[in-house]
Amino acid sequence: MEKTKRGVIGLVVGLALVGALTLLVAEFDTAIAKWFAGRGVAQNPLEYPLIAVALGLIANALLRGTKTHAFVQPGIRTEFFLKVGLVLMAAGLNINVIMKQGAGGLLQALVLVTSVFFFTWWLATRFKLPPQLKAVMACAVSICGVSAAIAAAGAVLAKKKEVTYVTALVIVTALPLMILMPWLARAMGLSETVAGA
Amino acid sequence: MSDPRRMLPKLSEDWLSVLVGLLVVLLVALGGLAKVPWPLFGWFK
Repeated sequence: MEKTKRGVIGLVVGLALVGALTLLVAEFDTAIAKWFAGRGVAQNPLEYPLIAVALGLIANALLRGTKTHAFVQPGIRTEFFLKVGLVLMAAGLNINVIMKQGAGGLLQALVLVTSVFFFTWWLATRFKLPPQLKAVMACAVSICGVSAAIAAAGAVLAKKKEVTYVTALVIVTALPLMILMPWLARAMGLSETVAGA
Repeated sequence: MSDPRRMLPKLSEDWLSVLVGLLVVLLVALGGLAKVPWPLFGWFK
């Protein structure tokens, strides 16, 4: 009974912590955008995902340092929050914006996603990976990273371990690229459209 | 008498996230209609 009570308190504290961190990301994001705008940079180069990652890493280090990580763990359900995020992402999709890109944009997306998906599938087959892991990895690489991996994992009944492999792979690859790619694009003189794609 | 807990359907994490996601969408929409400021506190203004 004592253990259940402690679990419920941990769940509430963990959820409150995630909520507080989310609010803090929004506060910092606005402040940083204003700081850059004040210096003549209209487009904030440090976008909110980067701030969220930094705050998340700091919070994780603090929780582990103070040995309170296990206590708040019931409220920090990463996979569940990612699934909620997928619903929010879909709700935010504006069909008019998609249609504005026209048939060319849709065709380009179709060719890109299909070719990357099947290339990853072929490569994973060469490495003799299990089919579920292949499907999750191919979706993650070709569509939109961790969110696609989580969505695909539910469809192909992948193991938690397989989702964790792919999530770690995407994060390890994407984290440095989030910082390096805008800098490289500017150094190479690429247009915003090309660099963004 | 059957156990009341068994009468409630047990939702999988996928369905629970759909429900929570839709509730958050509703909350955001209501927040927009009620003109709730974002960021909420504006600490660094």
